[in-house]
Amino acid sequence: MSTLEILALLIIVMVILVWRITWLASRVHRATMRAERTWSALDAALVGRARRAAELVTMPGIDPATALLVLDAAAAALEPDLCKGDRERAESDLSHVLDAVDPMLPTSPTELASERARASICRRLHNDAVATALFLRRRFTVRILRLAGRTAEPRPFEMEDGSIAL
Amino acid sequence: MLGRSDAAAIPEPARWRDRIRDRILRGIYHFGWRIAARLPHRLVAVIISAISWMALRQDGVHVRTLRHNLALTTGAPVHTGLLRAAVKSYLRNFYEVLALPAWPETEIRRRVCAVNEPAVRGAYAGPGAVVALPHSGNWDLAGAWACATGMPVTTVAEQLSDAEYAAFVAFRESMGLQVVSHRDPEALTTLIKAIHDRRVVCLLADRDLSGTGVRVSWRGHPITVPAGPAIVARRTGAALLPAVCQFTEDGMAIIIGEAITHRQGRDGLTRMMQDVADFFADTIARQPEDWHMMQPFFFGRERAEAAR
Amino acid sequence: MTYRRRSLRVGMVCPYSFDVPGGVQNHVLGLARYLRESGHRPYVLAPGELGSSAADLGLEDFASAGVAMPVPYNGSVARVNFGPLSAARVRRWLRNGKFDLIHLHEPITPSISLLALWAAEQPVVATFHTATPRSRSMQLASGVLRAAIEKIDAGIAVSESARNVVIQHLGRDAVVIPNGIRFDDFAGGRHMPAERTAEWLRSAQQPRLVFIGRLDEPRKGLDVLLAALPLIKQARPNLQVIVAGQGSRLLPAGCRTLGTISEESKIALLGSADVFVAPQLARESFGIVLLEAMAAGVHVVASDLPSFVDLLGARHDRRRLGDVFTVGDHRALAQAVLQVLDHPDPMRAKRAQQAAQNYDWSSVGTTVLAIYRAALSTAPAKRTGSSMG
Repeated sequence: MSTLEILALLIIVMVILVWRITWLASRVHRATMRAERTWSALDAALVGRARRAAELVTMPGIDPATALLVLDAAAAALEPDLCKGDRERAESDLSHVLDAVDPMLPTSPTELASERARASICRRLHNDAVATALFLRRRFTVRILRLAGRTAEPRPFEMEDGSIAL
Repeated sequence: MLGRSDAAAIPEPARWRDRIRDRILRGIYHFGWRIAARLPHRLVAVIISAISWMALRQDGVHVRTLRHNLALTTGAPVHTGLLRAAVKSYLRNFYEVLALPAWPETEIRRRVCAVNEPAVRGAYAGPGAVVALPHSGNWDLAGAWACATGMPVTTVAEQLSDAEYAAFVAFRESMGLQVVSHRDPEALTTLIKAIHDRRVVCLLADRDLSGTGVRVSWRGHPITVPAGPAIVARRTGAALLPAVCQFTEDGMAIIIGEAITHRQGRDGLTRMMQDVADFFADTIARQPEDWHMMQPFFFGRERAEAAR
Repeated sequence: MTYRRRSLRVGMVCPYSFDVPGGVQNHVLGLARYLRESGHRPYVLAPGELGSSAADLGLEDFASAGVAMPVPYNGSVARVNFGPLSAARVRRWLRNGKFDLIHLHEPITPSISLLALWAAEQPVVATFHTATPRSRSMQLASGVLRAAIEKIDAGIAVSESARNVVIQHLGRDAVVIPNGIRFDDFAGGRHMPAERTAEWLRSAQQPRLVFIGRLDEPRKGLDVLLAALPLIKQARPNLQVIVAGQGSRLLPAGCRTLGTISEESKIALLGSADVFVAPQLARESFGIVLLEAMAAGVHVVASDLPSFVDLLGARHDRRRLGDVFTVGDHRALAQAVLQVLDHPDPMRAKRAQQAAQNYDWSSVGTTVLAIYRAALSTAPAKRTGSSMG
């Protein structure tokens, strides 16, 4: 093969490589963005759940001890500036409390049930997105070439949903 | 408890040699479990001796890695006798995993004895138990024993893909063993729920496959171990118990350590898993041939497959 | 929160033609009907043609993706859509539909579902039905089609085993939402109006045993039932045995076959039955016909496959919803059937009916809608189609 042919071949190979790497980078970017968006949705859903739980205290016929328990757990979950581990614990505690008080409530809170279901689904979607993003970011090529840029590594949100019928 | 970790995480092997080996393995699994228990013991011993002799002669990458891992763990060079015993132990594990479906509960209870059993029974009766094990002895049998003695087990499988393996999972589930896939994003939640459902969570904890492990020291050498056992224990308040399985003449002993103190924060996780790793390393050093770590374990060797 | 009450335009893609009966097709129709009844607008794309008009089936609209090509592959004939023509049709449908989101069924098959996944710009929800995939195609999927799989915003699986397949082979999570049934249809089956009853229905005076499933597929277990019949007939000579389903099979005397039956006939048949037998041999991904029988108030006798036991309960469980027998054991089947005929437990049938009600589209569909909303809430701003708000 003449030098010209070799050169042409090299250029083609380079183009293919660059294209593949760009494609990979865009996948990593999309995945990281999706992880962030699902986190926003989850955050909103958790806040919605806690607020709805706090509203339980206005339910007619509810006893003060149950009201206090729920309000306290909801307030702890709604606390601003919680670090991830604390937030996970607070939301799990709220789930446990809601499970525990459910038989004590005078009427069945359907709005709260749908908020809990929404939070659970959003959590599943978020953790799924995080798993995909992590899988991509940990690929050899992505690590070596730092295709993930300076974005922080997403982490799953591990909390217990409690017993909700999904 | 299916962790044949040499069969690696899911992405398909590129080299043709691996593909052939995969085919053979799959074939063995497919037919093996049907005939394994019916083979006479003498024949099994002879087959194991023959294969171990061949493996040592060939001195492939797995055997070399095993030698390296054993040397660093025992702190002394590994002589052929130990290496041969280690390969035989691995093959014995392989055989027993295939034969398990044919063993009745009485046989399982007869074969296994647990040292310091009250530690795990007490935890199970109380706050719950998370048991961390290394790839030593037959951890699969340990799980079956726990199910057979009134402690249903939930565990994470390192590999769980084809229809052939499905037979294994189906049998173990019929024993009361709940198997969670390590690729399941809901895995941690399921493990936590298992503790609440009064099950024992058993996890292999000497090799980190997920990349999210903590750094600990194993006999002075740095390694990464999964943080899962400590996380589940802390989150649920269950006791974290390290345990090592070691073969005896005609059975197996599960050596259970004392519960590890829960500590807070990320550092706490590391310290908890360090305690676990210390127990593992010390117990393994007393009977190192039963530790089948044929994959890169310490840093400094090729970590290609472990990167995922 | 304004999106919550808004009517959604949902583009549903079914990879299999409605000309042929099938679980996925029934699922798509059932879900679409529920969505329409809840005020949303389901648009269905599938190969082939629809049997009746779209409105009759409760769809907002039906579009055909052309004919699926039969390709002999892996021991059977698969019907697939591929190629630029199909892809263009799918793209056109997506463009014109202005959907808020699209819902694909079985996207990892060489079909319009996959083409739609590839072309979609809207949020994507995918439902996985198969519990026993072709592992080779799945392995390929996890490599080459990874980018397409990453486009799925939310995954649904119809059973735990289907979910396991998704986790293992695609590396994605999927929320388990079972197949739905139209409970009211089946529960009302016992009171079919006179003019709708077929000739075989009018003769329902003797105890009646019903089997529904493919006659020529050994996996469906008809052989086990046939082996058990002599034992059953010995004790119950006047037992009427009716077998319905596709395929041709030589049946012994005393067995009546109805061949392929319509949905309406199936409802009537179940409504007239005393015992329903599900002797399947291999892993069934979902026992929907079991649920339909339970909804109709029929006593169920099924093999002890894990998915059936999950549904009915263990053999000696006092609160079980039906009877299970050791898979493949015709003697055990005979014993179970005779037990039910000799000591029928109306309370058990009632409980089974109540349990089946949980699988009604009104419950199942609500969860699917929740998934839709969650997927929409995680979509990037520009992807929510043309609808404002």
